[in-house]
Amino acid sequence: MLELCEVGKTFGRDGDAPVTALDNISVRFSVGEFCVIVGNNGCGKSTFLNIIDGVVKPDCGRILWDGKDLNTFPSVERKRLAAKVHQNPSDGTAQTLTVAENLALAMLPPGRAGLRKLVRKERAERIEKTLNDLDIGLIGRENAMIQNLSGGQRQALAVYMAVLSDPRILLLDEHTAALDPDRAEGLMELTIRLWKDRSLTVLMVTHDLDEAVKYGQRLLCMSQGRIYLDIDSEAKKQLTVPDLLDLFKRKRREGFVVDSSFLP
Amino acid sequence: MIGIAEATLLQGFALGLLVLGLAISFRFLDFPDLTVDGSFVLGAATGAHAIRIGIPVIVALLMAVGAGFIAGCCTGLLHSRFRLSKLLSGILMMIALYSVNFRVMGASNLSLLQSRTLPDYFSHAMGFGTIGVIVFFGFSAICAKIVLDLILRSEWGSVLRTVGDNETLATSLGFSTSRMKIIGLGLANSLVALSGTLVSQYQGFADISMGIGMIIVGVASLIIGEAVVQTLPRRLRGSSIVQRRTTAALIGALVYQLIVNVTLRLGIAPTDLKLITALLVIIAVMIGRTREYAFAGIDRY
Repeated sequence: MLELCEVGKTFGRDGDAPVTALDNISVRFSVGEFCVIVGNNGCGKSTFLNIIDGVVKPDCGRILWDGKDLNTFPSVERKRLAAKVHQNPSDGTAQTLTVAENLALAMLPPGRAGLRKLVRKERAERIEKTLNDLDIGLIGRENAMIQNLSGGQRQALAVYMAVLSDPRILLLDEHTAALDPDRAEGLMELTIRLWKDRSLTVLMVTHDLDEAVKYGQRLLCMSQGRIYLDIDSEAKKQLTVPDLLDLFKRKRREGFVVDSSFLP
Repeated sequence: MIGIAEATLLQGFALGLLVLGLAISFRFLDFPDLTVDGSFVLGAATGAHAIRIGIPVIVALLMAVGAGFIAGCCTGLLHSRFRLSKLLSGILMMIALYSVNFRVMGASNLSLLQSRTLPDYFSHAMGFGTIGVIVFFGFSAICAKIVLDLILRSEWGSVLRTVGDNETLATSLGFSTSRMKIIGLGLANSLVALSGTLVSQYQGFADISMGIGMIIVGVASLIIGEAVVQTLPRRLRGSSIVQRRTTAALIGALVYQLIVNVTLRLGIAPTDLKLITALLVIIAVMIGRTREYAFAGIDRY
């Protein structure tokens, strides 16, 4: 179980205009849960992922995995616990390396590299199998450079590579945002498949309410560093986009800020 | 006086090692490393001093390479551990090395004319003359390229390229980007130092100011080489980006020296050479622009 206890983070605390990204949040995720997070710009959802990832240090509070404080993890294990995929398709892959080289790098034991050839026979076979399996139009194109691929292909590779290091938690920061709807759907199918195959705990931030309603078992809505709505799996199954917008409107009185991009 | 062809091959191969080093730092590591002006002289100074006090030539050569490696590591250390910018780290090492080089040599100029150097073995001792030296320099440069190709396509070398391409990815794969940069710059500058000691051994002296402008020579060669290599058929330029870039480094060094030698023979004043170099680089970048994606970032610096 992943547990956040009273986690707070304020940026620019010493300045004139401090911004509270996380307002003492407490929340739990069970292992293997697929949770979607929505919220307006600046509501703290990216900070939320960054704190779990270890990129941002919280001001206060604790993060526990299986009851153990993440601060007590050795740094290598801390890094291996969570993998993140970003919005920009160039972030998760090396652009001037080939498809095969990128996949082979992700197959290396973390932090260990020798002077033997990177794409050698046994890896080449595994890479070929992977590309057949991924089915994103890269069969036989293992020597293509990443920068010549489409955004969807790059993002699919990025998700797959993130999962190859065998993390327990997969963090997706609007990973479909830069893709057209067809490609985004294909990428979501891959994401769901990897989640099921590997019993990952997935936290997915999205700006797309259709996506938020369609995928995942649980939905968190954030605003101003707080969680305003926590819709669990039973309620989420019934949920539609208009329902969700209704909920947003009702929460407005409590200070929930609705992003204008959500409103029809 | 030697002919244009001989001068081009001699200087082209000797400086080809320097351009290979620059390919590592500027291209694969994405680190515009200005240490070069200093580490080139450091190699020459270390080698010359060692030879003059009677250390065997081969050992002197290795000492020069080692000195270059340490200089490169220092630049990497300044950047990754002390958080100085890439440019500042290189500039600081460049000026610091000026003093170090003076200390190593003990004077602003060290003559090697009384000593037996490596090029001497190939030209006089074996009786081949200048051709012997050209073969020796050519062999060294091509060997260095082949070894570099193998290293850069190994697991370690691919991680090094990833550090230059996408640091976040390298970190998330569990690698220390600092360590990769430090060793990568060490490797780059050991090639630069090797080039420096070979040049000084051939010309018969090491000089405190022989490194001035070496970065420009290197970068110009690199860019010209990349423009030339794009026009080659695929079979000749190599299938992977690593081979293309190392091939470009060597070809660029040769083409640049050819142009320099031809212009000098045409009677153009040596002081106008810098202007010509600048024009050449501009033309090479223009050629590179017209061909998309064959070389990413041909004009990044």
